[in-house]
Amino acid sequence: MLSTREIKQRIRSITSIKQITRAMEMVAASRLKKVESRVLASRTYTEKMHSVLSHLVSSLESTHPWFAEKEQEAPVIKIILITADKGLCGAYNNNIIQKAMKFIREKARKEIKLTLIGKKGYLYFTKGRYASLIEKYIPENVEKLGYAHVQALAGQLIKGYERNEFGELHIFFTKFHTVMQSFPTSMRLLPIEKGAFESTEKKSGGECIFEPSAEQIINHLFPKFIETRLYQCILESLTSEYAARRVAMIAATENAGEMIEELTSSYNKARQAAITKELLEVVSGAEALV
Amino acid sequence: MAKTFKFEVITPERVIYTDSVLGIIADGTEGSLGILADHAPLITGLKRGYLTVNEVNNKALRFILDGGFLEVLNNTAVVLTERCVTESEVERARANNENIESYAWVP
Repeated sequence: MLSTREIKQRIRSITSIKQITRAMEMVAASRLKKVESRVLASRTYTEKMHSVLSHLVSSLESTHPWFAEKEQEAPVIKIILITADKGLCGAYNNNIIQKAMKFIREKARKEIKLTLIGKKGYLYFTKGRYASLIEKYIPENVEKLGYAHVQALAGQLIKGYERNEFGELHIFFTKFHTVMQSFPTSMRLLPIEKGAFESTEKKSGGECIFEPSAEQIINHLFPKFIETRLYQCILESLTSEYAARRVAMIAATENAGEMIEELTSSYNKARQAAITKELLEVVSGAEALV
Repeated sequence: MAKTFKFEVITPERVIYTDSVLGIIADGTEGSLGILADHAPLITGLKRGYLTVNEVNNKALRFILDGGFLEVLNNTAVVLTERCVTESEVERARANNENIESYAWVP
């Protein structure tokens, strides 16, 4: 058994850990609130754009080149992986990295290029045997990636795709559902999946007027669509990260509380034992004198 | 009273405006156009420029858009744009010399 002094020290250190985890929980909660409203706004934008595009696609006669598979011309697969910059958020980083790793193993025969957003994913891949796959790392803080940044990144990706530098573009991110639930998700950004625009709503009121032509609008809209999707994915991941961190920190605070309770009771026991021992010593000493 | 329809301005960052309106006048890529209730379904590109909204109280509200798209369907008009500010917002900012950089794109 530990001595009373040692137990006291541990109680003190755990109390300060508890303070830290509680503070982190508060920080995560306030950040989560901020970013949650952003993700919801961006969701409306993405959904609206999606519905506009479904109308357009259903009225197009020929299929757009971005729907065509080009495995032959460009066998390279490009992956964007979004992780957090910091740890202490439960299994958040691990889940999404494992999902990406599984995909990489499945496609091991093809050439894969990784674009990493978030420091944790970068650290993971630089250490492993897949370090050679990293093509690009975006060192900016995930939280500070604004729409302008995403636009620049999407622009580069689209150029690369048109130059046949890669044939497929996948993105791995964590979809935010509720604070307790978020799902590691993968999505193919390019070529656009044919099922993506099966028009869900019935067309109403006959033909739509397009100004300029539907083709021209779609050529303009598709790059925007990729941009918004990418932006949306980053925001979803960020929200999930804060949610995960908040949940992890709540659990940590609770655990610390339990531990303090346990330690306090063993401290009391140890103190009582010491007192009893001393008393016994005094009594037996007195008896010996008589 | 004139018929109204639903109108929304959405950017990736937030929903800027959503309300019932009497009409809007937008700067399309093919020229200026006005939308009233019961307009035929339409999708058009927008230029960087002004968008005027006639609100129900007969007041005009002016937005400045950085390009974008306008969709009209079932008496709902939606503007999707990357950046959008109201005219009064820009004027106030320019008068007070605040955040000039963030309005640098505004004509």
